Amino acid sequence: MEAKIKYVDEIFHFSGKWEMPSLCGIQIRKKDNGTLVILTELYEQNPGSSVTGMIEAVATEVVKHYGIPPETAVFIVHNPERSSHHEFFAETFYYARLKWDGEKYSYPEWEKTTEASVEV
Amino acid sequence: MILRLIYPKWNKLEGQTHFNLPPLGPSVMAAALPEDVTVDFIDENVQELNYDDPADLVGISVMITAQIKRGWEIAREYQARGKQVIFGGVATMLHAEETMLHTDSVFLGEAEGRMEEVVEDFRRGQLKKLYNFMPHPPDIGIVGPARRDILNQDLYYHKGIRMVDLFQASRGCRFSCYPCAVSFLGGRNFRPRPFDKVAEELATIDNNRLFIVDNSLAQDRDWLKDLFRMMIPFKKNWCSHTIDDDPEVLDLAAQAGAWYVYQAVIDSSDFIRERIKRYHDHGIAVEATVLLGMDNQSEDDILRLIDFLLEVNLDLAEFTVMTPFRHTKAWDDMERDGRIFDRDWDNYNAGKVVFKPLKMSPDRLQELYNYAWEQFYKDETQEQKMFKLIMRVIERERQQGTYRPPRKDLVNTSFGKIIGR
Repeated sequence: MEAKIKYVDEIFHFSGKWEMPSLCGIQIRKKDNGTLVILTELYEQNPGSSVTGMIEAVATEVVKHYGIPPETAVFIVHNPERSSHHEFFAETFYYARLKWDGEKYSYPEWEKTTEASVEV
Repeated sequence: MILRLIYPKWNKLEGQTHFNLPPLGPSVMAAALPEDVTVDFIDENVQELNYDDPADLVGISVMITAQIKRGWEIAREYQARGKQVIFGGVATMLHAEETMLHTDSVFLGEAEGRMEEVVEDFRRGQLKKLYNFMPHPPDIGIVGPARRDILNQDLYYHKGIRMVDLFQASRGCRFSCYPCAVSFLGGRNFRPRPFDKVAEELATIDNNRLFIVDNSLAQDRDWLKDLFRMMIPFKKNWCSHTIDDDPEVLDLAAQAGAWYVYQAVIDSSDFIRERIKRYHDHGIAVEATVLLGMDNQSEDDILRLIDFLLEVNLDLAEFTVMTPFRHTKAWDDMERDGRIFDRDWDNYNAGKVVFKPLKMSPDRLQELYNYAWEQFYKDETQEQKMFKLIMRVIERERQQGTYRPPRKDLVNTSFGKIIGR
């Protein structure tokens, strides 16, 4: 059951929990009022930590790596559909609302959203 | 140097037949220690722990989440006596940050090729707070036979019948199952041991009955066939997790001694029904492992599933409630949605509901879990069904000429405790 990849322009490598080499899909879209970053969980293709469990660290690495202004970045975590009849592998989209302290993100709050929000 | 190595006790699930298997993790770790380290092992599930026994360093090996708090308690007692304590094992990796607050040192990862450094640091008085080898698992080829000699084997008998010994032919798992943390713990790469190493270890195990604890026996079909061909001459009988559903593989598994499998049953589909039948057609018994409270399950789904289990001629069934263990997708999803209401790790034993199910209340899921156990075993108890499985293996061993009768000196004991006959 491989993840179906829709919003991945490239693979982003990050340092996962306990320095486990980890990766996710990434797509960055410039918007008038900031940057939309879509991070995609890759399940079996990811040898390390999930994006969801490491969102503060991953988001911090992303803005530093790509030179994205952190205050106006918006993050969506995409769990792709896995061709499974089980609901827990259904496709989901979540906003990760993060606080930027000048150095790093913290205090994630999650808000479920829809695929339409990616296209806005 | 004496390493007091402790496997903490945990509260067994209410209403279930209690049994204790000889743990593998401590034996594997002990095999990686320098030869001049004496291991004094205590399995607290079957032995009393005396804090004043001689020890230079204390090791606490925790496999399941429900052991972790007891491990912290033990560490406190030893630290109060001036001993240094190091934690390792699966649950240590799942709860590493918290555990670092309760101990002198935490070891993350696999032990082979690493313990010389730890022991040397301790001897120099420079035990590190953290040994993190998770990103760098050892070459699987250096994994040698586990040191089962550290165990008091007499404590793993019930009424004279010896429990299975745990054995591992591979590490890692290429799958990414929803409730499972194995991919975090062992890496997503399937890492089979070389066959000469597997054979070497099998030859050291003085037990005809094994539990192959590999995460899955469905990861590499060609390897699996070769593994089973290699195992045939050893005449062991064994249980395992799911075996690849292929006629040739199942045929070889049966020849290699497949006794029963733990098969996840998540719905009442014909796919599951047929799969159970195929195992049975090959003479392999099936214990269903049934996870209740998944997001796709309604009350009616669970009730239908219980009826289905009674229909399909299972040999045993084990029910658990969905539990969001750390570093699983289940944890990610439920934490993100604010559905986890209980963070007392003692309750993470897969028998207590610690989260808000999607399609019923936590109390209702708890009731259905209890109902499932009662219904499945209402006509024949778990112990009676287990006895039938034992009789099957005894019959097979008699045909193979490997049968060993129950130990007469232990026939009145159960896991080291005297019982009536």
